[in-house]
Formats: sequence, structure tokens, C-alpha cells
Amino acid sequence: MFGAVIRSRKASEKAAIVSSIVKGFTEKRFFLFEYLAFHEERPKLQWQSRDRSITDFLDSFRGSGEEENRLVDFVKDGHKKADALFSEIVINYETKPDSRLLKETEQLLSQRLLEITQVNFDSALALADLSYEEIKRDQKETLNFLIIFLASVFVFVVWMAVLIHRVVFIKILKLHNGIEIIAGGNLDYVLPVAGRDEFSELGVAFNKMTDQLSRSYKSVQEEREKYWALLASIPDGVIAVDHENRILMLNQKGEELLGWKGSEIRGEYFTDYFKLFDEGGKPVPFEHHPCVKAHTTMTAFYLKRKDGRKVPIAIATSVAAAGETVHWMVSTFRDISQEKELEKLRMDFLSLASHQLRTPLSGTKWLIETMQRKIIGPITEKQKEYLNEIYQINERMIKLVFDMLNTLRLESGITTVKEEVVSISRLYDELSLMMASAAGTKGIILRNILKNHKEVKVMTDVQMLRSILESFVSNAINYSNPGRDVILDAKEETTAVVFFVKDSGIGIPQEEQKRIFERFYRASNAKIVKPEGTGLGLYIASMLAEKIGAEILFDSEEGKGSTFYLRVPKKVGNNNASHT
Amino acid sequence: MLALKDNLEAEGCTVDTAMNGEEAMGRIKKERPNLILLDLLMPKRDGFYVLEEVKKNPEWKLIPVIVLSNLGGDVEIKRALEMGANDYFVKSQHPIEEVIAKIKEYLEGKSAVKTSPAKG
Repeated sequence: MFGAVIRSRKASEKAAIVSSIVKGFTEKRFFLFEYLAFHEERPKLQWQSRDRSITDFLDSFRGSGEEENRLVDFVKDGHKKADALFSEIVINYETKPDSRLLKETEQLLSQRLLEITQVNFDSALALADLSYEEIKRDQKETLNFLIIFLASVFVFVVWMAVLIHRVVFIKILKLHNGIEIIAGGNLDYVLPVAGRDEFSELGVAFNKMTDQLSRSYKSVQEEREKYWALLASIPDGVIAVDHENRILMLNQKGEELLGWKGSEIRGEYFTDYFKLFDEGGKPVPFEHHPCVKAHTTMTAFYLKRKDGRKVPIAIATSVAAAGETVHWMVSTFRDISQEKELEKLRMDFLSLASHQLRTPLSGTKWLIETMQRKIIGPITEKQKEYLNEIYQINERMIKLVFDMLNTLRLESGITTVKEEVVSISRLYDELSLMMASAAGTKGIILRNILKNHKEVKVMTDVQMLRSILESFVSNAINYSNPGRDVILDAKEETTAVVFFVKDSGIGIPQEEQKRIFERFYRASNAKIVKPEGTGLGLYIASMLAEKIGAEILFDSEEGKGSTFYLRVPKKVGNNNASHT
Repeated sequence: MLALKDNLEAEGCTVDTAMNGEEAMGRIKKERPNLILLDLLMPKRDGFYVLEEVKKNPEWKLIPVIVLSNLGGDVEIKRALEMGANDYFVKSQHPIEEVIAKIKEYLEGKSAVKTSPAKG
């Protein structure tokens, strides 16, 4: 290509030279015509040509073809001749020749000069033609070359594009497709990796990442399955509710109990499916629903299943916090039909046992009492003494049966705590009246300090409270020396009412104090004073106190007496009501 | 029952006894007593049956019924009182004198017979 361009440039230069030559000759001819026309009117010197340009141009001309060089040589030769001839004419012939011969010779020479210059001019034109042809040829060559060159460039560009497409685009496409497949969830997909370019490296890195991801995903999946298996295997129903009270999860056992599938009720309001009723058959309102607050229920609820059947359940709820604001309530619940059945059996048994044990004892009691009243006839002093003894033994037996059945009932947990407002002074009055005869026989006076004070009330189970205080008073009487006072008092604190029964009796030995609430335990000095005690009184009292959420405390010094305290917490309730 | 009968007769009462609920209903129809002392656990028909029959009959519902039983459970006591029993004594917990005194109160009209359940 460059050869062609250089050639083309040379040809142009040559053309310029030729053009100058042609121009030179043209000017020369005009000069000659001018000379011929006006040489007689101008001084001779004016016509002396110092025209060297044509010779220089001809010298600088470097032809490439034989024809050209021959023409140049010819033109050079002609030019020389013409110059020589002109010089001769100008030198030899006056500008104003007079002789006719001279004139004729001049004419002849001039004619010849014209001919020569004509030939030179023609030859120069021929040279010019030659060089134009050369330029044309070179231009054509250059054009052809350019066409070939551009075609080559085009082909190259297309080839490159194809190459780039194959190498880059297809690989990117493959990568993209692979990523789409993986993003679609198929983590086992492996990107095809070929070659050793950057794309392959990217592919390898991506496969590595996918593999890692796949493994992590599988392990998460396994963990998830494990937890589900764990949840499913929990023998209790488990239901989780979110902060909007919608069901999040229900495990397998829960499904069995509810009759609903977890998938059927997920996202629904739990109250629409977890319908609870209390023991009286009333629906449990939302605010009291055991699923909405963390706690363990003491009472049984009845769950209405999908099929409408009601099953007794025990339920416990806890809060599962997820983050700072969101929390779920997780409840476990189980069917307590069997427990309920057992409870009923136990109740029936207790009821029967108490009846069967009491029947002979109460019969004996009243028979002895009837005999003592001498209704069926007179009795001797000795018989009276015997009857008294039998009566006491029978009474002990009655007390023991009463205490033991009470213990059994409390231990089985079947007693229910009722709540009502209790007037304390009134309760003390009743107690004093009930215990008066027992106190009287020992010459003990029960002092109800509260009697003339302001009314103090507490909300609790009156029967249980009475039993506890009864056991306090009964102990105070039993273990006091005759003639002493027993004081019944109570004080109101901010959160509780504290009952206390103070005696000036035998007291409890220091080292035995911590055992007095044990079942059947009796202090050593108590056994001496009252050998027939059952050792169940304070045990029952402590159990009853636990039932009503109260606490028993005591101060005691051996030989000086004891004070027993019962601390009953206040509850929010209707303080205007009074018990009947 | 023997002890009660002897005590009440000594007080000047006429005492009629029945061994079960059915027999008791027969006696009530025949004798129309001033007061009924009722045990709960009895063969054939129990005390609750008798109580129900007595209290639903307009002629008899004003007859005081005192339950004397060895059943001492809250459930039984509550049930009997709700059904209209005027008093309930767990036999072993009360001396016979106390029971006799209560019977006399009713017979002498000192304790009014309530037609609606009450008294805890």
C-alpha cells in the first residue's frame, strides 16, 4: 500500500515537473511568436533568453519507462537545438535586418525554430500524457489497494466480532443461565467450566460458592427438619401465635388435639380455632384466654375441637421473643381426660372412704353420747368413766380420719380454691365460739383483740382460712397451761393481712422448730403434754396456706409460748361484699 | 339411728324410721311428718331422691329436712343445700346434743323453714 502511495506521490511530482516543462515550452513559444512579431521594434538584448528552467526541469525529471526517457532525451535535445538556434538568430541577425537574404535566412531559421519548438511542445505534451497515464494507473492501483484493504478490515472486524461473541458473549450467557438456574433453587447445578480464561475462573469461583451455599442450605434444611421432628415428637400439643394473634405453627400432637391441620389454620386468628370453655361450659373471653399471657394454668379448660367435641386440657404459655419488638406466644397443651377421669375416681374413692370410715365412728359417737345422757337408763360412776374413755378414743379416731382424709384430699390437688370477702373479726368470733368449750375445760380465755377494732376484710377461701386458724387456736389451747390467755389478732399491711394467734404455752424447742410442718411430726414436749395428737394439724395448715397463696410464720421459745402468723396477700376484689 | 330415735323419743317426739329412700317416701306420704331427718347414702333410692321428691311437692316442701350424713365433701353439702335441705350435719363432727337441739329448734318453729336454697 505504502509503495503505491509513494509511487503515486512520485508520479504526481513527475506530473508537476512535466506540467512545468509543458508550461515552459508554451511560454517559450509565446516568446518566440512575440520575438517574431516584435523583434524589429525592440532592442536585441531584450530577446536574449536566459531561460534555464526547462533544462532544470528536464534534468530533475526521472522517468520510469523507456518511452518516457526517450521522450525526455528527445525533448532535451530539441530544447538545446531550439535554444542554440534562437541564440544564433538573436546574435547573428539584427533586430532590423535590411538585407533580403538575411531576412530570408532569418525567416527560414525562424521557421525551423518554430518547427523545433512545435516538436518539443508536442513531445512535452506526449510526456505529460505519459505521466498522467502513470498517475491514473497508480491511482487505480491505490484505489484497488484501498478496496482490498477496507475489505480486509471489514472481514477482520467481522471475524473479531464473531470471536468475541463466541468467547465472551456465549460464556456470559452460560454464566447468566447457570445463575438463573441456581437462583431458581437448584443449588446442585454446576456451571460448565471450560478453558482457562477469566470466565472459567469466575465459573469455578461461582461453583465453589454455590457448593458452599448448597451445603449451608442443606445443613439449615437438616436443622429445620430436626426441629420439626423434635416439635412433632413433643407428646404435648404446641401452638405458636404471633403478636397479631395469628397462628404461626401447630405441631402434630396439636393437630390431633384440635382436629385442624396446621396448614389449614396457619395465619388465621387463633381464637377462631383454639376455642376454650371453662369448667362451667362458658366460653373463655379473649382477655382471659391462656394463650395470650405467659403462665401455667391451675384450672382445666375445655377445648372445642373441629368435630365439636370438647376435651379437657391443661395449658402452659410462655413468650418467645424474636428481636426487640416482635414476640410470639408459645403454648403447650395436653389432653387431661385421663387425669380428669382419675381425679373423679379419686374423688369418688375419697368420698366413699370417708363415708365408710366415718359411719361406724359417728354411730359409736352418738351411741356413747346417748348412753352418757342416761336416756336409756342409769349408769354407774365406773361405767361413766369407761364411757368417757371410749368416747375420747373414738373422738381421736374421728379426728385422725378427718385429718388423714383432708391430707389426702389436699395432696391429690383436687381441692379447688374459692374466693370470697371474709370479715376477720367475724371469723374470729366464730372461731372463739367453736373453740370456747375446749378452752373452757382448761380454763383458758380466748381474747379476740380485733373485736372492737375497725373492720378488716380479706379476699380468700374462707373454709381454708378457717381451717388454718382453727389449727392455730387448737394448738394454742392444747399446749397452753391452764388459766392462760390465747390472743387472736390481725393487722393490715399494704399488700397483706397478717393473722396471729399468740399463746403462753410450752413453746417449741429451738432445734425442733424447722420440722414442725412435717407430716406426722410432733415436738418432743408436745408429745408429753398431749400424747394423742395426730401430727397432721400444722402439716395440713401449711398445705392449705400454700393453696390460698398465704405464708405461715412463727415465733416460739420453749417454756414461754408461741405466736403463729398467717400472712394472706390482698387481692383485687370487691371489698364491699361480705361473706355469708 | 337407734341413738337418735332414743334421744328424740326421750324428748317426746314420735319417730318413724325407714331403711331406704323408697320406704321413706311411703312413710312421708302416710304420716306427713313435722320434720325429716335424712341420710344420703341409702339402698334403692338415695337421700337426694327423697329430698327432690319432698321439695318439689307443694304439700311437703315446707317440711324441714335435716340431712345427717357421713358424707362430708363440699360437693355433697353444696348439692343438698341447693336442693333445699334446711341443714346439713356431718355426723362425726357434731355431738348428738347439738343435732337434737337443732331438731327442737325446727319443731318449735324457732328456725324458719326456707323454701329457697341458702345457708352455708
